[in-house]
Amino acid sequence: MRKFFLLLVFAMALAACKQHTATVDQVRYQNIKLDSTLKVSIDPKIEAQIKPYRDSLQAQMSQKLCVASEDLFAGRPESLLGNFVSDLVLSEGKVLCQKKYPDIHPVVSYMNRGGFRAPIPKGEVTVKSIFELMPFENEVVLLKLKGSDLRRLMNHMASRGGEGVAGMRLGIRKDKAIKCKVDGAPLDNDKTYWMITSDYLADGGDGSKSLSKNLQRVNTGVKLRDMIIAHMRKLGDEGKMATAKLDGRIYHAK
Amino acid sequence: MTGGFIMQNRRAFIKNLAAGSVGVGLLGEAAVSLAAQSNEYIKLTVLHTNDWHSHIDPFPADAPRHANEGGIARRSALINQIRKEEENVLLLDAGDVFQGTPYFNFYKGKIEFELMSEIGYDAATIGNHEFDNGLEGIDSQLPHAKFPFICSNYDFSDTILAGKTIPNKVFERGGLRIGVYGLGVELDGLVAPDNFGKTRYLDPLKVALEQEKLLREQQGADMVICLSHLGYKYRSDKVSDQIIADNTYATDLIIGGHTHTFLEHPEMHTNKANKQILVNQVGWAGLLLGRIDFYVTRRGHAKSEYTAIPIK
Repeated sequence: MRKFFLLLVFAMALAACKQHTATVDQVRYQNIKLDSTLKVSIDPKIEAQIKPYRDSLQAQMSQKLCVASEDLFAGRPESLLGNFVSDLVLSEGKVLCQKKYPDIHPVVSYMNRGGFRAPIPKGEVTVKSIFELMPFENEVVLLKLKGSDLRRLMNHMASRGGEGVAGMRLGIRKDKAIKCKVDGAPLDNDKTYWMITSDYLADGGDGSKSLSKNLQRVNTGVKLRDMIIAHMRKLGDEGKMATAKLDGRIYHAK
Repeated sequence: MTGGFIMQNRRAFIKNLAAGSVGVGLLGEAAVSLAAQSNEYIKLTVLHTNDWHSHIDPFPADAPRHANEGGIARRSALINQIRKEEENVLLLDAGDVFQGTPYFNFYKGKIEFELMSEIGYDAATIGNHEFDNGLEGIDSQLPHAKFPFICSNYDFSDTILAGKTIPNKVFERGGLRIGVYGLGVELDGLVAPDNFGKTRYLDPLKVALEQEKLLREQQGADMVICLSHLGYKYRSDKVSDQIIADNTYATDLIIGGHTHTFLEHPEMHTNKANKQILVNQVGWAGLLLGRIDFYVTRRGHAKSEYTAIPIK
């Protein structure tokens, strides 16, 4: 018994000696707010490193692209901004397809009203204006849709009171889309149509779930904002104004 | 500042004395008094950020929220100040450095990585927004980072990032070996498939269990930190920092990100081995710097608990 006790004490002592493992004894913490209450001023070395980037960024952001003929505001059922952006996305998208996807012939475009984060103000349009219009990194996506799914999407647009579209026409009656037309012809449930939109909407964003039933999807890798900037720069180079008109592409039917 | 530390030691000793046998108690007392006499503890200061999203400059003066707050030059000044005061500092980032201001749109992450290198970040993990310009968008910016990217559950072996990240790293500070592993969020459904290509996402919990074991048993880590971009907590059973904290055995701290969670203070959890583990996250946009000081001893007997108190 005594032998056993000694052995036990020895074993314990050995265990204690082996305890060179690190043990946390206490923790002190602080999630420190980085604001003017801090007793440190800014790091001049880091500030100097940022400056050339900041200056260059400001120069690029203030680059003039073109002139807008009037304020282009977003709205429903259609709007100058919605029509302007949707039209340019459709026309630029067609050019992109000719170059990169010759088998794809897009006929409609869809841009959600909620995605326009600022109007394009009358007068000089800068790169900054477009960043304000479209701060997101959305990508241009091509979708092959069945006519019936396009009709479901148009019904969704009608329930929203209208969205930004090009290449299509529809009337809104009791939150439903009526007299749906694509490229001037009545929408055919059994035909297929190629649409240009954003990855956000193609992924079902903003309630456009019917787009998840697409027959084919092509991610172009082109950023929507870059497409808009390139188009507006081209307008400026050609001495043209950024302009849009309301043409009744989406209207409230009686 | 050391007063609380000694008090804690004494309290723990008394608790152990009451609970344990006399033999252990006596050995324990000797160890404690030695530690107390010679101040034998190592203080490790862990500083961390997450989701700073290209917020190089402070928020503009006319911003509706956070006006004039943040800014990396201010963060750097604070880090410099802490480095002057503390010997053993580890500076880590839990991902989503990219995206959020035009700095990223124009320079693609170059300036973010250059500034983090200049400030002396020790490591970062990769967040979902790092994939915003695809795998090429990461690959092209990596040369600007003079710190490693620790990714344990993204298998990049069939991509252009093969061999360009590491699964873990052991840092030596004041004689302590601190093992760090990194966990990334599931990319499918969050990042466009083209942007992550053939990256394989591995089960974070399984990887965490492997990594903590490997770091402790094979690499002799005294402490283990998980750099996580999984997110703080979800209503669904989606894996989060909570799940990692509660189901690992040998991780001491999870530095979180992704959910932009502003935690007032690190959250204390009890892990599978009935030991304490901390979870922290500091919002987003570089509005805060997380600081956790660990007072570590090699002399004291193994205590079951430590206390965490705010720095005043």
